[in-house]
Amino acid sequence: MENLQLTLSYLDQVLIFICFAVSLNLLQGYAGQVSVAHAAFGAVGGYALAYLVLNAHVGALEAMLAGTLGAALVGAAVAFPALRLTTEWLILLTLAVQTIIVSLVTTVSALGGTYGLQNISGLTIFGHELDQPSDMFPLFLVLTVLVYAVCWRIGESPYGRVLRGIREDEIACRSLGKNVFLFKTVVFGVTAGMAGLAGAMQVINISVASPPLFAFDQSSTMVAMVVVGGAGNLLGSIVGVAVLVLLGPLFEHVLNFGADAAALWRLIAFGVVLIVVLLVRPAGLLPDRVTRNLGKKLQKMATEPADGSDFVPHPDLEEMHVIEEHLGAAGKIEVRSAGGGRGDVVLKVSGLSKRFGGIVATESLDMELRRGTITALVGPNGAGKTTVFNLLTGAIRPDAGEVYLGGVDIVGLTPDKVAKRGMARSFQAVRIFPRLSVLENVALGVQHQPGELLVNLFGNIPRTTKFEREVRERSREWLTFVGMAGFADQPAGGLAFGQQKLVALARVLATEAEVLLLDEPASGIDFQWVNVMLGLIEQIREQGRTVCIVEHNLHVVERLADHTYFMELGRITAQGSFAELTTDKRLAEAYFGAA
Amino acid sequence: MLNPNLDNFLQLLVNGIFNGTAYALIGVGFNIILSVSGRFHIAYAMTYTLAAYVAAWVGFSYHFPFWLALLAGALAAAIAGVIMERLIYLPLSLRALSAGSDPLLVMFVASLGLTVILRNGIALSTLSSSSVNIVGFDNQGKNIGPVTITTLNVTMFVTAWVLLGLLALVLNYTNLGRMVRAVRANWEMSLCVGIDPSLVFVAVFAIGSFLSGVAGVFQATLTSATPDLGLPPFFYALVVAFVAGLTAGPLRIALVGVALGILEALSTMVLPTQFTPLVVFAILFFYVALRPVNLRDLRRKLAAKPHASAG
Amino acid sequence: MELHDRPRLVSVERLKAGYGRKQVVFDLDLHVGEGEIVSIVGANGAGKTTTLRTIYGMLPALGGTITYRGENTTKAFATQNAARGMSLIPSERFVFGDLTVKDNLLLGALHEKSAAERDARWKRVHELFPILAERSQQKAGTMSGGQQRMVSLGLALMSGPKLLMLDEPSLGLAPAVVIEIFGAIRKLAEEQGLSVLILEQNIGQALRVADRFYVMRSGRIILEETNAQMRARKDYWDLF
Repeated sequence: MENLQLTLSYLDQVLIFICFAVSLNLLQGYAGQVSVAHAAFGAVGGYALAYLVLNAHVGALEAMLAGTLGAALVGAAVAFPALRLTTEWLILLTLAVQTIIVSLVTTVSALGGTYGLQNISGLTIFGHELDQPSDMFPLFLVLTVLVYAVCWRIGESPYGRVLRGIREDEIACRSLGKNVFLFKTVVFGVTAGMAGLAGAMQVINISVASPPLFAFDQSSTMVAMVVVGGAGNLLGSIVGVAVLVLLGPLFEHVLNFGADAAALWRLIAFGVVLIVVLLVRPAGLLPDRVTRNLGKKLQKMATEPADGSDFVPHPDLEEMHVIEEHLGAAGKIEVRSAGGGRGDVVLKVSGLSKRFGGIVATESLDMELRRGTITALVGPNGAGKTTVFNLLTGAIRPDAGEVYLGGVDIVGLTPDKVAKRGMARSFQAVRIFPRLSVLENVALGVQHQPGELLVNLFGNIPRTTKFEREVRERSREWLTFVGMAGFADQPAGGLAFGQQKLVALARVLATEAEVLLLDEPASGIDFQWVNVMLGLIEQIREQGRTVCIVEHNLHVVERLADHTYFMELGRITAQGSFAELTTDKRLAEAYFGAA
Repeated sequence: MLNPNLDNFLQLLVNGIFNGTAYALIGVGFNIILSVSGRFHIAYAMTYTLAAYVAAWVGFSYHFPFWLALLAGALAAAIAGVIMERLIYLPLSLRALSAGSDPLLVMFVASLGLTVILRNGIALSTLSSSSVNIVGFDNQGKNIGPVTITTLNVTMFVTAWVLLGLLALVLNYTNLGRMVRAVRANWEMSLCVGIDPSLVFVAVFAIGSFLSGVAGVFQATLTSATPDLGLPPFFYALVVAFVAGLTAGPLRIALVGVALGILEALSTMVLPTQFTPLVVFAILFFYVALRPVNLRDLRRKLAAKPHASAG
Repeated sequence: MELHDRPRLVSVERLKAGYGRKQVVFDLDLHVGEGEIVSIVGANGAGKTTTLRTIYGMLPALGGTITYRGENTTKAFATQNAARGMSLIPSERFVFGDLTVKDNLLLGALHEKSAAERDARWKRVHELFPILAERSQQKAGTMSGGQQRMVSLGLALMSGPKLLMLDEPSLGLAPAVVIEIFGAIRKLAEEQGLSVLILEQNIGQALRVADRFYVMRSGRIILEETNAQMRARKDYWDLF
C-alpha cells in the first residue's frame, strides 16, 4: 500500500508538470511567445485556492475555478505590454512578472510570507475526501486530460495555425488579416489560466502554498521542458516531463545515492540532457511533423549544391483554365470582385504625405488603381516606393492624405483590418512561414475562418470542420493555379526562393482581396521563374483583380503595366504608359543619371 | 549631533552607493556580453558563484592572501565564461541556424541548462561542508561622522571603480576595445573591415565574466559562498544592463547601477525591507512595458544582426 | 597601358551566389584589371550586392571560382580576404555610427602591422578628405551623408587595399560631393594602381569614373561595355 501511494504520488507530480508543460507549449511552442513566468501564474492559481479554502471556506472545486480564472486574467493583463516585444524583451518582461508575483506572495503577510499558507487539507470533491495520493490521482488525471485536450484542440486547429503563423512571422500574419494582438492576448490568458489550474493542483497535492513551489527555477525548468520536448508537439512535452521526473527515482532508488545527493544529481542530469538535446536535435526530441521534415530537408540541402534545378515547370494552360472556372463557381466562398466594371477606380489615394524626422518619404501623393488593370510604381532608389505600400496597408500611418478603398477612407486602420477590407500585399522578402507546410501557408490567407475563433472551435465543431475542409480545398486550388500543388505537404522553409515566391502569391490570392499590392514580384529569381510569375500576374488581371506592383526590373514593367507612375524623392512626377515614360529625357536623367 | 532621520538617510545613501557599485560591476559585465554577442547569458550567475568558491578554496587550502584569492577567483570566472562561449554557445548557435530554429531561444535554454548543471554541481561537491567562507579579509567598521562604513565596502568600491575605469580606457583607446565597440555598433561593417567576431565574443565573455567574478568574491567575503549566491545579483545585473541600454559605455551603465543601489536603499525609508526586490522588478517591468519602439531599434533589427554566425 | 592589356587582379568564373537557398546570381563571369575601375550597373534586386559580398567572402559562393591575385579565394572568409587587400564598403550603414571618426579610421588599419604604413595612409586620407581632420572626435553617425561616405572611404583606404569594392557610393549624395569622392577614387587608381569595383544604379555617376561597365539583370550579366560605348548609348531603359 505504501508503494502504491508512493508511485501515485510521483504520478500526481507528473500530471501536474504535464499540465504546466503542455500549456506552456501552446504559448511558447505554437505561438512562439517565450515566457519565464509560467510558474508564477501557477502561484496565482495555487495561492488563490489556498487563501479561499483557508479563509473563505470555499469548496475545492470553486477554489480551483477561481484560481484558474484569476490566473487567466493576470495572464491576459501581462499580454498587453508583451504584444510588441521581441523574444529577448519578452524574456525580460516575463522574468519581471515572475519575480514580482513571487515577491508579492512572499511579502504580503496575508499570504503567509516566506513559509506560505499551510495545512490546506480536508478538501472534498463531490463528497470524496482528498487526503491520499490515491484520492487525488483520479481528479488530477481528469484535469490533465482536460487540459491536454483543450491545448490539443486549440493547437491543431485553424486557430493553432494562426498561432504558428504568429510564431513564424507576425508581420506576414497581420498582412493576411489576422488580428495578432487579439490572438496573443487570448493565448496568454488561456495558457496562464491552465497554469493557474496546475498551481492549484500543486497546492492540493502537498497541502501547502509556498513561494519555492513557483519560483524562477520552476519556470525555467518548464521552458526547458518545452524546448527539449519539442515546440508545437504536445506529446513532446510529455516526454520532456517524463525525462525530468523519472530522473529522480533513477538516482535515488536505482543508483542508491542519498536523498540529498540524488536530488542534485537529478537536476545536473537534466541540465546535461538539455544541452545534449539542443546540440543534437535543436528542434527538440519530438518536434512537430513539419519542423521535423524541414530539419531533414535542410540537412539534405546542406550537402547538396544549389544548381538552379529547383525550377518547376508550370502546368499546362488547359489545366489552368479548368481551375479558373472552378474558382469562380465555388459555393460559399465568393471572389469579391464580382461586382463593378473593369476600369472602375477601386483605390483612390489623395494627398498622401509622410515624413520621417526631416526626411520626406512621400509628399502629396495622388494615385488611382483601376479594376482589372496592373499599375506599376517605378523610380530610382530612395524614391519612396516601398513606403507607399506600407502607407496604403496601414503598416505606417500617414501624416496627411486619404486612401479610399471602395469609396471608404481606410487611413488609420491596422494592416489586418485593411486586409479584411480587401487590400492585401506581398513582400519583397517573401515572408513565408518556414515551419508550416505549403498548404498551411496558403490556408492562412483565407479570410473569415470560423475555426479562428475559440467560440466556434469548442462551440460549433461541425461548422468549423466543414469550413476547414473547404479552406483546404480552396488552398489546393490556389496552389494548383501557381503550379505548386505537388508541394502541398512540404515545409515551406525547404523550398527554393522562386517556389516560395509562388507560394506567397498563392497565399495572397487566397485572401481574395480586391486589390493586390505586389512588392517586387520578379526580384531575386532567375528569368525562367520571372516568366512564370509574369504569366500568373497577367492571369490574375484577367480574373478581374486590381494589381499594383513595385518593380525595378523594367522589362517586367514594360510587359505588365497598363499604367505606370514615376516616383522621385517621394513625389509622383510622371504617369502614363511605359512607352510614354521612356521617351521622356528628363525621366531618364532622373532614373539613370544620364540620358 | 545631526537629526537622526538625516543620519539614517545618509547611512542609507552610503549603503546604496556601495551596493550600487556592486550592481554597476555586474551590470557592466552582463551588458558587454549581451550587447556584443547577443547571448542571453543567464549562466553569468554561475561565473559569479564559481569565483567565490575558487577564491575560498585557494584561500583555505593554499593560504593565498585576499588579493591573490580575488584574482584567482576572477580569472577562474573568466576562463569559465570563455569555455561556455566556445564549447556551448558557439556550436549551438551554428547548429540552431542550420536546423532552422531560433538561435536566441536555443542559447537561452542552453544557458539555463548550464546554470542548473553548475549550481547543483557546486552544491553537490560542497554537500558535506557547512559553509564556505573567504578567509583572509579582516573586515572592520569605521565611523565617519554619522555613517558607518567597512573596510570591505571601501576595498570593493575602489577595486570596482578602478576596474571600470580601466575597462573604459581599454574600450576607448585600444585596438581590442575598438573592435569590441565596432562589433556592437555595426556587425556587418566589422566583417567588412576584417574583424573576426568569434574572437571578439571570446574577449567580451572573458571581460564580462571576470567582472562577475570580482563581484562574486566580494559578496562571498561579506556573507559566504553558497550555490545560490549568483542568482539574485544576476537579476540586478539584468535590470542595470537593460535600463542603461545596449549601446551605453561602462561608465554610464555604472551610474545606472549606482542609481539603482541608491533607489533601493532609500526605498526602505518608505517601504518595509522585504518589498525592495519588488520595487526593483517593478522598475524593470515598467521600463520594458513602456519602452517606446524607437527608430534606432527598428533600424538595428532591419540590419538583421545575426549574432550567431561566426565569420 | 591599354585596358585589356592589364593583368587581372580579380576574376570570377561561372559564379553562383545567394543567401542560403535563395540563389540570386546565376553563372556570372567578370574580371577587374590592376588599376582599373569597373562598374556593375543594374536595377535593385539584380544581384549586384550579392556578387560583391560573395567575392569578399561575406557570403559563401554556391558555385564557380573566384581568383584574386593568382590565388583561388572561392572559399576564403572575409577576414582572410581583408588581410589580402580586399576592402568592401556596403551601401547602407557603412560606418561605425557610435564611434568617432578617428576610431573609424583606426579600425580600417587593424591588419596593418607597419606603423610607418599606417601613418602614410593616415596622411593620404586626410589630404583627400580634409574634413575628417576637423571632425576627428565627432561620432560618425552624427555626420551628414556625404561626410559619412568620406569616413567610410577613409576607413577603407586605411587598410591599404588593392581591390576596393563600393556598393552604391553615390546613393543619397549631392552631386558636388559625388564629384569629390569619385575624383579621389580616380586619383588613387591612377597613382597607386588601386583597382575599384563599383556597384551603381546611377549610370550617370558611374560614367564619371568607370573605365568599363558590366550590366546585370536577374542575376546574370547581360552586357559588357567600355565607358565610351556606354556613354554613347541613346537609351538606358533597355538595360534595367
